[in-house]
Amino acid sequence: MSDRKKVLKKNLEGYLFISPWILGMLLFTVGPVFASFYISFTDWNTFQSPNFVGFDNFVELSQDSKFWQSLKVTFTYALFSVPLNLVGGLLAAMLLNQKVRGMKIFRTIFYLPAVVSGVATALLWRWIFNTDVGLINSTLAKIGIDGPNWLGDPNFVLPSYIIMSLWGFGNAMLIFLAALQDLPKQLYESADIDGASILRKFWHITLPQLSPIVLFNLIMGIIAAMKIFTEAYIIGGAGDAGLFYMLYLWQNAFQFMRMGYASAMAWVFFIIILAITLLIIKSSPLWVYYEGKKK
Amino acid sequence: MKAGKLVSSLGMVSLLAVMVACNDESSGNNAENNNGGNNNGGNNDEGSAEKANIDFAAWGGPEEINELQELVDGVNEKSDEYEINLITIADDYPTALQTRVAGNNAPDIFYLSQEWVSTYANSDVLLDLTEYVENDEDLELEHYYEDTIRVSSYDDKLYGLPWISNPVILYYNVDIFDEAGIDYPDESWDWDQFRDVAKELTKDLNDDGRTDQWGFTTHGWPPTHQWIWSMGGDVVSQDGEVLVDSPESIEGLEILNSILNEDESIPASNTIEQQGLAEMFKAGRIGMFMGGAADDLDRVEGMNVEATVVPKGEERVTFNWLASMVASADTEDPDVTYQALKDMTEAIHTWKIVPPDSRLADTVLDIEPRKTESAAQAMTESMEFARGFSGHPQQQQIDTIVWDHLTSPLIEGTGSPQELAEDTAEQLRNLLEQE
Repeated sequence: MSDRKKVLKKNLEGYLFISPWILGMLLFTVGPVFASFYISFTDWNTFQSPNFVGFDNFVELSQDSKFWQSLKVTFTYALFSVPLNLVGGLLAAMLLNQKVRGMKIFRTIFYLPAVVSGVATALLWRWIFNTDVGLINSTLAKIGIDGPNWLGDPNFVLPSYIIMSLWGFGNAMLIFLAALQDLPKQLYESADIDGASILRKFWHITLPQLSPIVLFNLIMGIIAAMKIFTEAYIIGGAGDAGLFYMLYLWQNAFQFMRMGYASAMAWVFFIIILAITLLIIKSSPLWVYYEGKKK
Repeated sequence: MKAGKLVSSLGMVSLLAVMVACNDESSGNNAENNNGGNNNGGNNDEGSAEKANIDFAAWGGPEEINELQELVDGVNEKSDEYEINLITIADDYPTALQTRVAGNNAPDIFYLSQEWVSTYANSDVLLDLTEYVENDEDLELEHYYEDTIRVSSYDDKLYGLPWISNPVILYYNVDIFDEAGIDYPDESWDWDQFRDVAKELTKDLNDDGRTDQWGFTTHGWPPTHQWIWSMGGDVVSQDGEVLVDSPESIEGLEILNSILNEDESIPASNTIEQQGLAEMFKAGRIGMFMGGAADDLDRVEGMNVEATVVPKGEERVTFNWLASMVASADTEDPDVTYQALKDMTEAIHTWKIVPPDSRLADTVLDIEPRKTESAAQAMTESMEFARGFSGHPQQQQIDTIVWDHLTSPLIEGTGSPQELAEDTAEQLRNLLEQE
């Protein structure tokens, strides 16, 4: 058998082994993605055959006050929750990067919330935010403060969701922690010899070295924050004040049976996230440090 | 050796592909179960070769489904035309059903709750039963309570037969009333009297400065319509006119708002969310509760509960939770399907309360002997003035707007009835004008 044939056969085996995944991906992800693109130009109600309506759905979206409201809610949420999660994740990772006894237990505890199911988390937080018997308000009551109606008052719904989002910083933390352990020791040693303070070391060594990880966590964090659904579905909140984009999309698709409109929403959302991601990646040479490259 | 490996991996792949395809065919819904005991072979039922197979989708808990299966078996035994195969959808019935219909895999007959009938009918998914019923000498629609037929119809056509009707009645805890020395509620009560008593029954029993017994409780249930209707208003009329900001509707909302935010006769909304609306009544902490006729509120051990009709406003009306039995427009043999639909519905009338057939009004206690006599009487009386939703193809959107812009802010006390009604009306008009 010639070498070429051997390689070909080897490759074929490999492809065969991954074919279930490829098939699944094509059938259940790529297929629906393309289908939804077509559907977004129709008035499909899932029951009757779709009628092509051109850009009607997109025009209607631009005039739909709930669409704009859901965008506003989602953007505001992302604007606060993403930086908070990055900072929280990084601080926790630095704390957990110390050499202390029992550190593995602490790491597990801090990461645990990130693997708890979204439904369980949402139910737990609904109790924490309860006006009368919730953890927050009963603690506040002990020091004489009358806590707000967190999930019922339109002014407090988004802050509640943002506080809740901090619960999930474990994912960012884990990646930061791995990166921190990989940082070259000699940089810190020479900084120590030069007498650099902790803050200086953080600012001039840790942060630049971590910046590719910050970029990664930032993009993933933005996508995750914009996609928030489970919590919003379970908790809801004060009319439109807690109307997240994905919740409104789901309502249109499965409650209002407007699959065409919902598909249009999905594509608009995709373009928005794509644009944000590209913007961040384009801006990254200004603030991300890659070893071996000169700024 | 290597060839053998290749063959086995090919085998694996094709097996997986088949599994994926099968999964696709069965619409991949894990919550669905086929309960048909003798239906393993699909359509090739040897013993009854000429019998048509009728798929019947229903919701229900395990115990309920066992009872329903017995009913199905009974109906099947009597028929030589069809064999009904019960499919139960335990979770998220509307979505599972929607998926089946969209996948051209609609059950022949199925349960459909009132808020979906118009939507489905408007999408031509349902079999129009009007002619079948007209030509059927055994079925007389006038025996049905009028409103239950209205809810099963759309655009002057009949799309289903109601199988359950569950009007809201007023349950009350006799011991709490006796303790306070207050007369029990009866059909003479109006909202003023109701509110006064609710306030009187709200007490701090152990003098710790915190209320631990309330006169009433409500939290989005019964629907806001209950109050709007009782003052002569409506949310959206039968012909699609938005009426939620009419003076009558606002008057109804004022009553609800007083109960929610002024009288202090109900628990705080978070407490209700935490402890459960009906659960608090069952725990003996609530004096009066508006519950569905079929609820088990009057059979809590150690508790003395009776029931009567709801208080009246300008008129007496109560919300009716209704569901119909409908047929798919794609069913193979509509004549047989109609027969199966009718037989199955009539069988269910002997099993579920309250039967929408007025001739069965006296059978409530036979069907459900655990109900108290007063509750049975209250629900039979209530059937005369019980009312379902208006029924609009965009009912889901209407309900969402009413919840987000009216009911939820009313519960949270973030707006006056007038403001909220006007905002809701604007949203509803925007929605209905888009058509």
